[in-house]
Amino acid sequence: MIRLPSRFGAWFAGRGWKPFAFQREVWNAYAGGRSGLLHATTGSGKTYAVWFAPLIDALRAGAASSSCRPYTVLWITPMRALAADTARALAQPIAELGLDWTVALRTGDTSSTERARQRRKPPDALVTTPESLSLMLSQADAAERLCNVRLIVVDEWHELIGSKRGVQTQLAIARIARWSPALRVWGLSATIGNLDQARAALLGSRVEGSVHVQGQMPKRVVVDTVFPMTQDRFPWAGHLGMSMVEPVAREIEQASTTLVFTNVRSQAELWYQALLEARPQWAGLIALHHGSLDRKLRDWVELGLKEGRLKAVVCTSSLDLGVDFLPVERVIQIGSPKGIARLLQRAGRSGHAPGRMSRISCVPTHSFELIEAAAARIAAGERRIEARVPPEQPVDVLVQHLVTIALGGGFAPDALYDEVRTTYAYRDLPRATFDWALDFVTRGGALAAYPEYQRVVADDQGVYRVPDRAIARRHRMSIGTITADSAMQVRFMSGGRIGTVEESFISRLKPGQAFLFGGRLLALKRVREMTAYVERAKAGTAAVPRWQGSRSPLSTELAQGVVDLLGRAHRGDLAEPELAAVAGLLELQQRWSIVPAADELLVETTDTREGHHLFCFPFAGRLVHTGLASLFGYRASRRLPNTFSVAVTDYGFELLSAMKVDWQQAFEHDLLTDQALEADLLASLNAGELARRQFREIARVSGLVFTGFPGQPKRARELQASAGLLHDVFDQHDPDNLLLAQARAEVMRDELDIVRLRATLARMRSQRLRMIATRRATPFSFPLLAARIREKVSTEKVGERIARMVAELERAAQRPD
Amino acid sequence: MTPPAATIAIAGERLQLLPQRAVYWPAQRMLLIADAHFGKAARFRMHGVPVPGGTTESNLQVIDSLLECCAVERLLFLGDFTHGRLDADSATLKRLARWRAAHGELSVELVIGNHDRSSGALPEALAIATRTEPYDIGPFSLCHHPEVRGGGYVLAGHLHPVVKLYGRGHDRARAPCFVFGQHAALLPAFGAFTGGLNIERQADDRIWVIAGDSVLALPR
Repeated sequence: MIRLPSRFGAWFAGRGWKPFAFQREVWNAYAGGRSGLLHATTGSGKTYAVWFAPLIDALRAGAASSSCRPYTVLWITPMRALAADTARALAQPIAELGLDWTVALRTGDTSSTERARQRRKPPDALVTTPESLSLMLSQADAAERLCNVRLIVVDEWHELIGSKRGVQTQLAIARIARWSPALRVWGLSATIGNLDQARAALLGSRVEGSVHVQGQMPKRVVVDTVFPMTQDRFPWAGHLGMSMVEPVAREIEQASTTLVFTNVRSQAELWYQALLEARPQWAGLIALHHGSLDRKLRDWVELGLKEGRLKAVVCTSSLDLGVDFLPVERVIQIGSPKGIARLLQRAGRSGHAPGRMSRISCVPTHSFELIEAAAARIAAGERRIEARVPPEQPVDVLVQHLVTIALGGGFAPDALYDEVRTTYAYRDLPRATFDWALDFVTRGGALAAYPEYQRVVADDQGVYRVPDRAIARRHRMSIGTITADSAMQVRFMSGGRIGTVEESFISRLKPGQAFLFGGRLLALKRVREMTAYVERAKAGTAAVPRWQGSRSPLSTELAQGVVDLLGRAHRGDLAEPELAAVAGLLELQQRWSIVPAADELLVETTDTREGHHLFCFPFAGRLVHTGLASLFGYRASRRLPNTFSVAVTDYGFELLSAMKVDWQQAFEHDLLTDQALEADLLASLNAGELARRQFREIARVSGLVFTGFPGQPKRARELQASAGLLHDVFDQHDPDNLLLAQARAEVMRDELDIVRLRATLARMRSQRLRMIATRRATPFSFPLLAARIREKVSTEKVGERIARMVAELERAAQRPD
Repeated sequence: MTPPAATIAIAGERLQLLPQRAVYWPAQRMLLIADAHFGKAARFRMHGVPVPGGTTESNLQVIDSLLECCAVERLLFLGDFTHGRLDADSATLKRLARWRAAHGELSVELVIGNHDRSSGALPEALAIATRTEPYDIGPFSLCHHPEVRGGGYVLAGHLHPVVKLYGRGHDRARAPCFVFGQHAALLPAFGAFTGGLNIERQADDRIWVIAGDSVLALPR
């Protein structure tokens, strides 16, 4: 047990605090040279638990001179937006403790003057993001600068673990560990279902001897439901949503400050408008906060929250993380929370004032979400929380890393291979895969021809470097774009910045057309370079931007909860109030079709002017349904070429085709078989273009597409090709390219969740098939019928498909009006 | 079975729209190709973007197959024959020169496009005569840019036209197309490593889409 230096004791005493047991546990472990993972919720003293460890260490070691401490601590935070708050939180106790440590900030927003200052006078602790850290690793003198790092803290590790940014973080840690053998690594994580794996993924080969520290147990969390005033029998996404505005406004009235979470930014825009219309007197008292809004606007909103000036803020995941706002009393979740971990995380944003508890209220936007709300409440009570699975061996990140390290002082392949394998993601990396990646950055490939190509070149000593300065510059510029989609600035004609919106949205607008953004009605004036210039618009119908990245599926835990509840309803048990509230819907469903028991698989068929519909309800989340729909479409049309359009929800999927299919026979035959599952899925996907779409991210990460930057020279523009086009060229001329294989594997794992899909298929085989032909859409199938986002599965050749479409148009043209 | 090419009448002439993304003009025994963008993949590779080789080869194979079946005497590129400067010792240029040598009797011309302009003069070994737009032959003005006006009906490229199609059951697809407007026609981009731009149909446009290995008229 280490003794706390007296000034730390005094610091705690001065606040009337005592160090928590878990904080001491971290300090002891750190002093003993150990790494670890601290499991704690926000606002529980977790920051001081890890931050004080190196400070105590420094004092005890008597390391008073500041000359030997540059970059002692690297503090990695997943969001740029959190970095400034974190840096402030770290700097604050330093002065109070009478220490002379310096804390600096380095993110994509950091100016070149500040970066130069840091170079002249390196800070003792640096708060940064995974991307900015990678960028530092790409500097030629990275080793000299970062050889003193004693501690790397990865804040909110649960946010990074499941993504390629998490892998980027793992690789950076492996790199720095090589220069600084005394390095300790600590992760901070909220509750997820696989904390042990989270620690392993963070620490890689250093996991041996590391510790798991349990922080303060979260206080009691209340989960409840806001009930609609009337019942809708046709649950249509977004429809019932707005009728909930009045009940939500009343809930907001009852609390001092409320955070209103929505799942997507477009919904946040709509709700902000609707609440203002419902309560015009709230102008100036309620605000909007999402990731596309300009930093200044968001800062203003966050300050308002801290100071308790705001009655409510409508927000998205942009406020999931970060420092706590004491005044927040209530949290409202609009629409499905999708998962228990997220629900609890959001609930935890409320009730930080003394004597309060966290409370989150689910607001169903359609009738089904009432059932989901009940399922969420029950699962949260039982603390059934989702796992976040770390990626395995992503080749694109490895390719990027090879170029980064070639820039950052160069590498010898054998040593780098060993280093990379100390990470969790690449612990089992075959040498052949490493060599392929090396080939890909040096000569393109061993099998296909890449004449005149080179990115990385071995010098006389066998050290791999990047000789071309333009390539180096482009690589550094694109390190940060691992997640970024081409975002356009939105600015007033008069100059003020409002935020960013995806280019694909702006490209669909015509000049003069109105759209809702940042809580304002705007009209597009003109687009120049990567900026959309706008003016305030007069009232009228407006488009609402649909930002990407908002399609997370219902978790297995939550989906199972829904199935259980429907099973209860099937038995006539409507004891849960949410079930009682949808009694009308369930009764109609029973009359027109059935409410399936837990051991029944419901399939409905119906015909409309659009074609022949199949609706299937496995309740397995939208990813699995996308895969199943693709598989069904493929298997059903193997003998007779056909094209299906697909709609999915978290409850089921629809296959719509112009030609009729004998589904009964297909189910009896091979629709549900496990045999050749992956092969069939891949075949259906090759036709279905999912892999081609998945290639977008891979192409960006591995440096195939260069998104460019404002004011770029013409030569850079000349190097732009769409990821889809590149995918096709690879597919034709280098089909064995591992990046293509990765696209397929990622689709399997991330897009279709093959593990869950296989389990779902097994469950479906064990269920009793209830195939019911309905005369019209039922309450269950209506949301699918109304879904606007559709995929497509085809076994027809492209030419045949286009010929058929042309023929359809021909017939339509010949019909009298 | 639909015939692979669509034969159309325009400006008093007959033209064959080929699914290989080219136009054949039988009266002149002329093959028209827009936006081949030779050397584009190589240019990417030179700048450190690994795009596999083989696109030049497949482009030339397609041209050869058309020369064989269409009795072509004149081959005319409607601009953007090159994507960027072809260095003297580049593999692309060597391959193009070998191809040209094998077709010594063929007349090859190029209407200069925007990419050709920044690529500089073509090496003499290619024996390609360059023209500036509008290059008038018979009732046609052969151009790269569709907005250029000459003495005749304009045949041009530059835009890489692609049309979006919608079928029953929310079926959607994109296909390269030929667009014949009031004053000008657009050819699809020929190159194997070229993207496409969705075009908006004007009221009096006639459009032919490339559906695999056939060309189909798109109903209005």
